[in-house]
Amino acid sequence: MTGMKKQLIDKFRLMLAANSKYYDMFDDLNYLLYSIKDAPFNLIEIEKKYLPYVENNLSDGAKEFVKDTKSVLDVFEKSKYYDLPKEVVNNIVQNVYFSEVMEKLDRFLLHCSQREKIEEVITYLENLKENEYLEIEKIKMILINDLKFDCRVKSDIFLLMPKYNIFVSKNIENMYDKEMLEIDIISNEELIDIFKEYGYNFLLVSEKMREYAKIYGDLDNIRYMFEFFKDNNVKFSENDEKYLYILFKSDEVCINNLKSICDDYGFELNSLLNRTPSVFWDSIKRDKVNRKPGPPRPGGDEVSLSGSNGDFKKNVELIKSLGYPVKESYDKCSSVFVCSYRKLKGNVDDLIRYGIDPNNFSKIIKLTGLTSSNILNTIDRFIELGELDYLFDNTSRLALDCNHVIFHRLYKVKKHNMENPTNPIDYKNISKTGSISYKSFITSYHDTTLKINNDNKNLVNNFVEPCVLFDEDKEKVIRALDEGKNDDKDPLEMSDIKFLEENYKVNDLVYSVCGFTFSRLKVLRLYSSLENVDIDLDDLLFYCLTYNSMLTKEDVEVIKNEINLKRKGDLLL
Amino acid sequence: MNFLDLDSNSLYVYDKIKEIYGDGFLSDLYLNKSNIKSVISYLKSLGIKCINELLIYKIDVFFKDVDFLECEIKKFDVSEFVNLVNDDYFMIDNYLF
Repeated sequence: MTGMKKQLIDKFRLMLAANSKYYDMFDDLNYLLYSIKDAPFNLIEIEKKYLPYVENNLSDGAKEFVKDTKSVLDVFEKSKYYDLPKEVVNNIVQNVYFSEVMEKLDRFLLHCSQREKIEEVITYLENLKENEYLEIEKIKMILINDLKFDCRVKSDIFLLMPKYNIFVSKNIENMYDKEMLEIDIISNEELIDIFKEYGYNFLLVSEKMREYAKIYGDLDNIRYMFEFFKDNNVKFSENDEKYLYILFKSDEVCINNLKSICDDYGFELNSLLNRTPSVFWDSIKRDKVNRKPGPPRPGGDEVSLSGSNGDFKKNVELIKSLGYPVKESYDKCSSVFVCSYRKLKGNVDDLIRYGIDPNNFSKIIKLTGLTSSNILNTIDRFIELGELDYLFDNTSRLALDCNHVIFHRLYKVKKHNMENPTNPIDYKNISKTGSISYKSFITSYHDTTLKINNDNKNLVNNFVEPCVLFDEDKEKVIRALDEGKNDDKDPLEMSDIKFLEENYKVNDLVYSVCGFTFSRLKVLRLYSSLENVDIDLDDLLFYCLTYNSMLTKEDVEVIKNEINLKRKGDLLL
Repeated sequence: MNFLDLDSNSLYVYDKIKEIYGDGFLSDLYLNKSNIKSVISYLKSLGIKCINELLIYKIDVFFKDVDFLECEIKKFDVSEFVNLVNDDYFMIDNYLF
């Protein structure tokens, strides 16, 4: 294993050495970019003082940018715009003449900023302990962001990383086996006796579950559970894994939790046993074995069989507080009751933030919609596609991922319909009862009509991430969005938002800029979360407006120009 | 991991289920696999094609007893049910929830 780790470190060192000439340009190119962004009006000064410097000191690669910059300056000097007010010129220069140069610079800078990250990876690899897995996802991004390095070495790294983790896994498995030997396991005889005492035959239990019981079971807990089953007239077959897992994994604390829920809300024990056995144990097991992630449990279960006792109790209370009939809701969608409480509560809070009255949840929102992984982004997407009616016709659809293929297909169809008003594609069904559904070429997993599927959805429509942020800013933004819900401050009082409200507000849900629809709720929530964060963004407003929107490069340019020109125009007035 | 014997994209389906409902629910899915497989077979026999999508977004359908499902669905025009659900899997809500 040491050999594999060394191979990986050597490859990253090779990457560092081969890229050093690019990395050395980072400061200079960064300066050039900011010179253009900050003070394009004084272009002559840049040309006279800065360009000769970079020309003399940079490699051929960087000179490409200098050449581009010079040609822009030449055109600009001859143009009629030179006599316009300073702010207007800055705007024109940044957005019209230099946009391509800046875009190239941004891309190149991303590559140049890799040095620090590769050094971090090398240190990370050097400090990696024998039983620690490689975080492949983290390292993968560095390789993907690298524009210049030899692809063969990169592919070697890609192949080596999973192999490394397989070695780690085997290593842990060996340690795990040793650990097992040290555990005070229950003997076969003890289990045979206790099963016999309650009328069951332990020898009829599958070998897998017998092993599980010996290692993970606890005689006192098993006795407690047998008594519990006996008191509630629960009988089971020795080969029914569902009951066996409950027998070996549950304990008095979990059962007491469930008893109080059953008493308070009228749940039937049998229903819980059959549909959601995971509510009988918790993920944190109070037993003798210090469970560790890693190799499969004895018997080779395909899933880790986590419990949901704690989440279940809190979910029941939350669902009740929102006015849903608890027992009836469990009968219809028990899945919601065992999902993560944190997620459920987060989604409820988010919907309240979007104006849903907590007293109306049970009337408006289907419980299954609350399992959404990113509920607000999903609502924003429906708003921006003009399909909010479809969402609220059946709020289970809140569970759709905002990057679901449905949205990519809708975008394509709607674009086609806008461009071909006389030959539109009919993508909706409206039933006699008025409920709305989409035709299968929008919703199906595999689609041969539009030919947009999961594997190509991100490529077909050529969407771009409108704002290229530096990594440091990205982290700040993500952190701020996670933590900062600046509810104290009314975003409508902020000047950027006032500008949008006055110029682009269509209704409470929508801003429209040059025919592009943006979720007003999205902009308000993002802006109020980010306004106080120290982010060096040229245009926070533009970031909030276009965040997660489905836009092509051309769309972004149109919107950016419109916003900038309008803002400068407002300033001149 | 394909304890439900799914035909295609099984990894994607399990990943999405885990993402949406969490680890605890995956235990329930695993321990109810026999019932779930019966429901999958029944829905397929009716001509339902969007099994994966139903598993991801309407998983509670698969926790129902097959006989109960059959009774419920037969109350409606079955071919209309199949067409509507194949067109848009969320429409199953109109019949079963």
